[in-house]
Order: sequence, then C-alpha cells, then structure tokens
Amino acid sequence: MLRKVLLYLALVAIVVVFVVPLLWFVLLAFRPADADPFSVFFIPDLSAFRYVFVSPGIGLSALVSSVIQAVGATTVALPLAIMASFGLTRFRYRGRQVLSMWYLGMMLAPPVIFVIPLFVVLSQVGLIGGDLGLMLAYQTFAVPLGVLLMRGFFEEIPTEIEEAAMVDGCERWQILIRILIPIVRPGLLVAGIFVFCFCWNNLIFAVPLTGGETVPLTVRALSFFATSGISWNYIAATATASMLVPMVLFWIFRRHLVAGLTFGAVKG
Amino acid sequence: MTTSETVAIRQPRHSSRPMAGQRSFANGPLVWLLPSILTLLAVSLYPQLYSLVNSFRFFNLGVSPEPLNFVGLDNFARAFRDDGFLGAVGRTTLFAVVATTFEIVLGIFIALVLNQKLRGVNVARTLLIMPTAIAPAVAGLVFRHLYSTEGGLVPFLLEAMGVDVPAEGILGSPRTALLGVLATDVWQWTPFVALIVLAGLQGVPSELVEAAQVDGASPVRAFWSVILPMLKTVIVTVTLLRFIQTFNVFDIVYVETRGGPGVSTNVIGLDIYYNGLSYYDIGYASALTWIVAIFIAAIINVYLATAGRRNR
Repeated sequence: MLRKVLLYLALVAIVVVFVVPLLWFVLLAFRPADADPFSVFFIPDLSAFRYVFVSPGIGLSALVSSVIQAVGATTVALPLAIMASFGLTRFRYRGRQVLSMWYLGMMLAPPVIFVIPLFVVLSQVGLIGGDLGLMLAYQTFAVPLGVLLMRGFFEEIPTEIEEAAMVDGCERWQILIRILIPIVRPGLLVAGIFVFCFCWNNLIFAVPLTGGETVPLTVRALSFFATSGISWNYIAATATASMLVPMVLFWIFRRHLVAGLTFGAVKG
Repeated sequence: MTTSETVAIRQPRHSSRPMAGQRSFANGPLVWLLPSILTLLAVSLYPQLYSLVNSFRFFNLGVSPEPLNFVGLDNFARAFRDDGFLGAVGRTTLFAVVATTFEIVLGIFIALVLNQKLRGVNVARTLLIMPTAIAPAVAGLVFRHLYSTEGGLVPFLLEAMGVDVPAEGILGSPRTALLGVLATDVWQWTPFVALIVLAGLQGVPSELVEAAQVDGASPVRAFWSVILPMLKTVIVTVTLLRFIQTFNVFDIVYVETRGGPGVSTNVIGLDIYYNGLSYYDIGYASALTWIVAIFIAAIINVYLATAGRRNR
C-alpha cells in the first residue's frame, strides 16, 4: 500500500516537473498585461497573438517561412532517402554496413562544424538570407535522418514479392514505385514527420543563413529581446506557435518516437 | 534493426550477381545511392574541405572579403594557446559529463516508475514526450523565463524554500549560469532517455524478475542483477548518444546566455560560432572546426562500434 502511494507520488512529481514549465510558458502568451505575473486564473487575452500574427504580424512571415523551409527541405530529402534506403537494403555488396554508418555519423556530427563552412560557401554563391540556402543546409541532417529511419522499414519487407515481380519482367524502379513504396508508406510518413520536425526546430543554421522575411519562428521569437525590455508575451506567443506543431506530430506518432530520436539505433 | 540485419536478401535468379565486385556495384546499388551521397558531399564535404584549406590561411572577413596569405599551422597553434577555446573545451566536457549522468540516472528511475501498473501511466508517458518534441531553442526560452528575476517561477520557489538566489539572477551570475543551462538540457532530454529505457524494460520478461524475487532477491537486487544487465546495450547506446549530443550543445546556450556572463557558459559550439560569424575570423574558426570535428569523430566511432555491433 505504502509502495503504491509512493509510486503515485513519484508519477505526479514527474509529470509536474516535465509538463508544468511548458504550460507556464504557454500561459504567458494569454496572460493580460495587468494581471499578477504568478496568476493562473484570468480571462485569456489574445492581444499578444494578434500583435505577433495579425497586426503588425511580424510573426506571420516567420510562420510561413518555417513552413516553407521545413516542408521544402523534407520534400528534397525524402526522395533521396527513399532511393538510398533502396540501395542499402535491396543489394548485397561490401561496404554496405560502412555506408549506413556514414549516414549515422553525419547525424551525430556537431552542427557547428557545418555552419561556418556552409556560410562561407553559400555567401559566395549568393544564397544567404533566402529559403533555398537554408533548405540546402538542412540536408546535412535531413538526408541521413531520412535514410536511417526508412532503412529499417525497407529491411522488414520480404524480398519474395519483388522476386516474383522481377520474374514477370518488372524493372527495379517499377518495383520501388509500384510495390515497395505503397508497403513502406507508414515508414515514409514517420521519416517525413521526423525530418520535418528536425528542420522546424532548427536554430543554428537558421540564425546565420536567414534574414528579414525569411527568418523562421525559432529565430523570430528571439527578436523580442529588445534593449527597451523583454516582451515575454510576444516571445511566448511566437514560441507557442513553434512548439505546437512538433508536439501534435510527436503525439500522433508517439509509437515511433524511440526509433526516430535514436536515429534507428534503438528500435521503438 | 536488431534481427532484420541477419535476413539475407536473396537476389532474383536472372539478375546479375551483385556480390561479384566493382562492376556490379556500379550496375546495381550505385545509381540508387548516388543522389543522396552527392547531395551530402555537396552540402558537407565540399564546404568542409574548403574550410580545411581556409584553416591554413589568414581569412578575416572584417579585414578582406577574400582569403589572404597562407599562414601554415598558425591558426592551429593559436587554438592551443587560446584560453577562450581551451576554457570552452573544458566547460563543454564538464557540461556533457554532468548532463549525461543526470539524464541517464533520472531517466532510468523514471522509466522504472512508468513501467509500473499504475492508473494514468499511459497519459504520463504521452505527456513526457512533449519536452523532447519542442525546439531546444524554445526550451531555452521556457527556462530563460522560469529563471527571470522579474516574475520567474524558479527564483520565487527557491526563495520560498529559503535558498539564496543571486541578485543578478540565475543566468546573470557566473556562479550559477552554467547550472541553469544544464538544468534546461536535463529537463528536455531526461524524458527522452526514460522513454528509450522504458522500451527496453518492456522487453525484459517479467518471469525473470519474478523468478529472482521468488529466490529471495529484494526489488533493488533484482534491478541490479537481472534488469540492468538486460538493459546494458540500450543504456550504453543512449548514454553515448546523449554524450555526443550534449557535447554538441548550442541552441539552449545561445538562447539563454549567449555564452555569458563573461565566459561562464561559453561552450565549444558558441566559441566557434562567434569566432566565425561575429569576429569574422573564418581562418581561425575553420581551424577550430577541424580540431573539434576530429575529436568528435573519435567519439562517434566508439558509438558506431557499440551501436553497430548491436545491430548485427
């Protein structure tokens, strides 16, 4: 009995510690300016959201940029990752394992070692401050992450179907498009969601490579730290929009979370 | 990925036999792998090699938009005399070791709680995903506000408990700033460790634990002698992963303190970033990039050897 009570206390404490900070921050965005900073019950005030996303709405362009950049980078990365997963699972050759490791290594490398070289190269070709340069930079992790996640799904498909199709005279690319892709659709979705979230959450590439209208939400939220003071309600409104998207997606795909976040090294 | 690796992929009879050698690699997987490899080479290897060249040059965008003369190993020699960089290396190592230790120990504890048959445990599991889902930059903002001297929850609670909080704030004092950033990382990633360990725990057959308890083992003993050994590979994998990722820390520090006050939270990521993109010392930042890349590559290889062995 005592054991049960202690376990329930621990469970409640865990949830409080890890969830309350988030709720507390979201409340900031809704708390009226004249309310006590520690008050929890108040009439929600939407003026911070109106300021950020409607008028003058500098957060709206950031929201649009975040969507364009994350969707764009994912759209580029997924076909590359599908092809690579096909090449990594449908053939046998020496170095196959090493190649898989190379993708994982790309995923683990500190992003800062890519930032300076990419900044120099992208500025020489005039791609600083736009969506395109950032989407290219995102490929450093989007492609490897897509490969690592999708490879596991490809591996689980038995090869018998393909063999039959090949006997019937199907080409490799027909097998991929007509047979494999429909079967791995759940894996495709999971890889797509994770790649999208990693891009959506990025800061280190977005700070130096974007500017003005192309700044995404994560960077825009920082712009409300002004010398005249910190506008926490605007920061919270921007950050709430930023966190809502991955939270909902992670909740929907919670079953694949472990595999996604360990880059496939631990199966969830 | 644990067992599927052993499933042999049989080739259709009439196709060329891909094990034969180089030519079949070119006819077979190469065309499928090439697009992603070329993309990665273009966005990472080319800039990296270019930065290797720059690391031997004097290249400061504040002085000239073009790289100037080659200076040999000067940039590398400077790194080993640079107190800013050396301090950052020590600080980052300390950060990674302490943060990883807390995340793993707390994560295992939470996983054990979440593995109990309790009402509401499924809801708790789902809620615990949330810190990991959000951007590290947003987690940094959440904690920067929690630590705030005006209306921050943490100083309020600490003072209520009689703990002294520095007048300049948790992130404003050189004594506590690194601790504040560290707590943010632990908050964001402990649930992640917990969920992975939980996935491992659910693979431990309950009969084993019950058998140990029938033999008179206490719950603590059963954990140490039965459960923990079975979780070894999962824990080692996630420990190395977290160590590498905490070593790579950037976003939360950038958002919470920008490396300050003074140099008290200046980690490697920020040090390189500032040298390159604030002081525009591309040559020096390139040298630092390469020093760190080599160091991290060594750790990553340990990770790959461990995680890779498990995959087979």
